[in-house]
Amino acid sequence: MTTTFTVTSATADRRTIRVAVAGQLDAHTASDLEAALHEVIGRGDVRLVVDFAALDYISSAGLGVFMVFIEQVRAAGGDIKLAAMQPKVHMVFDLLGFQVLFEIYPTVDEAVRAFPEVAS
Amino acid sequence: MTDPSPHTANTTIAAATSELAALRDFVRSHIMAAGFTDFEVNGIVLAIDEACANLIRHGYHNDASKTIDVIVDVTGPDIRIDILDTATSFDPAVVPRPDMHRYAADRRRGGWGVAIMMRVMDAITYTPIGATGSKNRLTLVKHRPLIR
Repeated sequence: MTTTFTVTSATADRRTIRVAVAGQLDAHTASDLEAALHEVIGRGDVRLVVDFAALDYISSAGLGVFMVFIEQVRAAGGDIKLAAMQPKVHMVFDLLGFQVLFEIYPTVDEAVRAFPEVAS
Repeated sequence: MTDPSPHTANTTIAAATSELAALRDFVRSHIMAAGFTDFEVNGIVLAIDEACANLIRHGYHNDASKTIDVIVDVTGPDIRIDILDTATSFDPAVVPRPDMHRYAADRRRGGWGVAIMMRVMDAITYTPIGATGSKNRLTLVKHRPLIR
């Protein structure tokens, strides 16, 4: 059995990037997420909303990927805001107290609106 | 496949992260009828994933020619899951608790697995076994609810 995981990114309101993750994010697939975030952040996009709605599973290897980038993104004036987690995924963030470091929103829209507006 | 009766089951996986999804399915299928809530089942499955992911990465250095045996025992008032390997011995009890802010500052991506295991399970014991002490057994125990 192969672990299925996909990550896609698209522009959203307020000059944010919506990064949608789907499937199972574990020690096997975490590198896919890391590569995707590396590419997005490497382009200079640092206002990120991660849409967890279609993510069924996360282990600490998945959480660790966000840790790798969060300081760099905030230093550049951005943030990684997390949104729309299923309860079983939210539980893992709760277990480790990740709310101390990350803002977690019920919906993608709320996460997007939590970013300050940018003058166009 | 779910077996609600008291039973034990075992599986052997290669020391490769590609095996973890199947391992999670195996563990889930054998504990989901043991009286736990979905929340607890998810936690136990996560704890086993974390233990084996650590073994694969740190114990076996992703050498897929090595193997891990996992035994699920659903016969007693506790469920017990044994994880056996032949890697360098490692006792999770000696791992310090992670400091969230320091980990972020250091851009650390790992080090959470043991904390998860400790928080989810009721007991975790490490036992060196075998004549040479070269084989390790990690036992994770979760009390089954008496009345739900």
